Amino acid sequence: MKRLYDKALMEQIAKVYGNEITFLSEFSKALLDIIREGLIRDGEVRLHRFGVFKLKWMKARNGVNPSTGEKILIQAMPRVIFTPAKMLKEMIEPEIPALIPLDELNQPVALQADIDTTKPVFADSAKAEIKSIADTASSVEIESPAASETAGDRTAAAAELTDHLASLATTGLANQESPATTPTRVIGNIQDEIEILEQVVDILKSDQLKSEAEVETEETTEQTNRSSQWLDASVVEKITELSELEYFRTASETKTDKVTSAAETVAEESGASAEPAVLEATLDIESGPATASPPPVAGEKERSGKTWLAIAAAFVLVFATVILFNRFSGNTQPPEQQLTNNQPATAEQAVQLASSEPVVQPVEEEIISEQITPVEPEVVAEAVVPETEVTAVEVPAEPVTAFTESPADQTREDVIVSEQNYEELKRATAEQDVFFSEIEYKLLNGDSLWRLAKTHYVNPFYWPHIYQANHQRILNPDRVKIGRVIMLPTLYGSPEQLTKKDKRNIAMGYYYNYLYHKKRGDPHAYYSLIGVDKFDPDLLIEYKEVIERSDVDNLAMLLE
Amino acid sequence: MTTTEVIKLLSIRLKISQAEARRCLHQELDIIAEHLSKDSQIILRRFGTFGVKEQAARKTYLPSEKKYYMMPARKVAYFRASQWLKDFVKSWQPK
Repeated sequence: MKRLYDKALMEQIAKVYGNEITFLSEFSKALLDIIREGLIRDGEVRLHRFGVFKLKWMKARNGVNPSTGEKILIQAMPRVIFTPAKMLKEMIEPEIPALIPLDELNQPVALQADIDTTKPVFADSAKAEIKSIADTASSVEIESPAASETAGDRTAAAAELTDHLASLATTGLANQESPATTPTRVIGNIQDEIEILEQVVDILKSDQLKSEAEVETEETTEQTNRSSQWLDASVVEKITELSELEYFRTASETKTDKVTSAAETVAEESGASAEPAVLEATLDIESGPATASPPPVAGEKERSGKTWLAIAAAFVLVFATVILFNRFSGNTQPPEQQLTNNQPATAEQAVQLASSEPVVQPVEEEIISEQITPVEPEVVAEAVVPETEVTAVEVPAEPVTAFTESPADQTREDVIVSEQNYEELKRATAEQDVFFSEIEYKLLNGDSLWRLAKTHYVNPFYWPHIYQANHQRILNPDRVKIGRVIMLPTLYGSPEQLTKKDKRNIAMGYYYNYLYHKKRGDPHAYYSLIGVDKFDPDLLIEYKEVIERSDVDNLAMLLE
Repeated sequence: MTTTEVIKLLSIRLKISQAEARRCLHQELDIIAEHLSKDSQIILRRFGTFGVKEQAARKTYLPSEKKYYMMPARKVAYFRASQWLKDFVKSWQPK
């Protein structure tokens, strides 16, 4: 395998394209620099037709030292990931091999696994059969004159069902024989199914003509059976119960009336705490008429219609109660949110007050203002502003909280630029999505931001771009200190054609300048708002809670 | 960061036109890709190593087809970050 280092690579490029090696090495150096900066700034660098470099945060994990077998903790750190582009993949493997289907694995899973599971397999099939029979019954009933045909179908269906019952019984017995291996739940469910099917068979044999309502009642009886869990009920008992059902059915209409009256009282009460209990009560009452509704006698269409109405009314009531419950449960949450929303408002008011008060500062302030504000205030500001707030409002909170601190507090901490908080600053600026250039500049005698902008960006009016990137280091943009190291950020576009991001950065610089002069009590602080209005007028709307109303009015007067 | 942004920054730093920066960028990346296709390893100082490794055949499942497939062995490009880059990137934190 051949290995190519930097120099060999440059030689290869020079050989193919005929460029100078010195330029190429410079170029590749700059390229790698930019990729590294991009990784830190955005977390990913996309190179067209080559691949994507990405940073992935790896959590801390336990590991073992392979040489000693000692257990160690691997600390959390980002990892650089490279995913090659399609073109690069194709260059390395020109003929991408096709996928070969695996027939062995694509076969369906064995049936034994299904049977062994705790959920009964028969339940679904039995339900489906019942439904199909019910459908046929209902469809036939529409053609009511052909009564003889329906009778024939019924008998055929009954015969099928009896066969199915026999098979179910055998499986159920097989399960009962080995109770240790199979859970009791399965047996119970199977027995339920058998009971339901038996009921259906009895009804089919006894009554030739049925209405659609019966099917519904059967399904409801199925549910109630499961809930009540008649595990050891014999067939004889069920037949007696079926005969008794007629009695209940007469009582069902009166009961539904009771249900409606109860629900109305519930609606009137409108107590959120009392809802759930009442709900359960209504459900219990509803289950009564559902079980009680028996197979109707032939020819009684009025009665079946009434049962339909009763069922519909019960459903509507359930919906109404559920909606009411949701509404009351929903009402409990908003007050908390309102409370949380109130906090930022108060914080902003405090900020506004602090910014509006012209703070008279001592002479020492000049020196202090030269020093960098500590990074800790940022953390405080973030802690004060809750996460629910819009991110746009978080930004103004930072500088203002720095100003609100009295100069005495700053002198206590005495934080001066050092290598440690240089790294922290770097991270902070990267978080603010400000481009962090590696170009550093040590301020000399006679330097000013205006002059630096003129030499660096051609246009001196772009000086807030520097101030915006270094506003934590330079507190007084009018007087910079000799020997201070600052960053000179690069423009995304060219000086002639600024991008939207550039304009925003410059406007932010003007905004910080306004805040500084406002803090000093300068009556002409609104002059720097001209720059904000020129480069990014949206900022005026975004920070309207911080910028004073009178200043905006003055600006409007000035622009006219 | 995208290619266009990289090209703009290159043109600013090296004081060359954007077209030239684009051309040089493509030259370099093309040469790297070409050498990778010849199974050679490229080691860039303070950045990392590009190389090619053989990926063994493996079983895959296509959820769209709901079937298992056998993916044959193939060559894949990899990038391994150098220690310098790892240290450089350590200050980064996810948003």
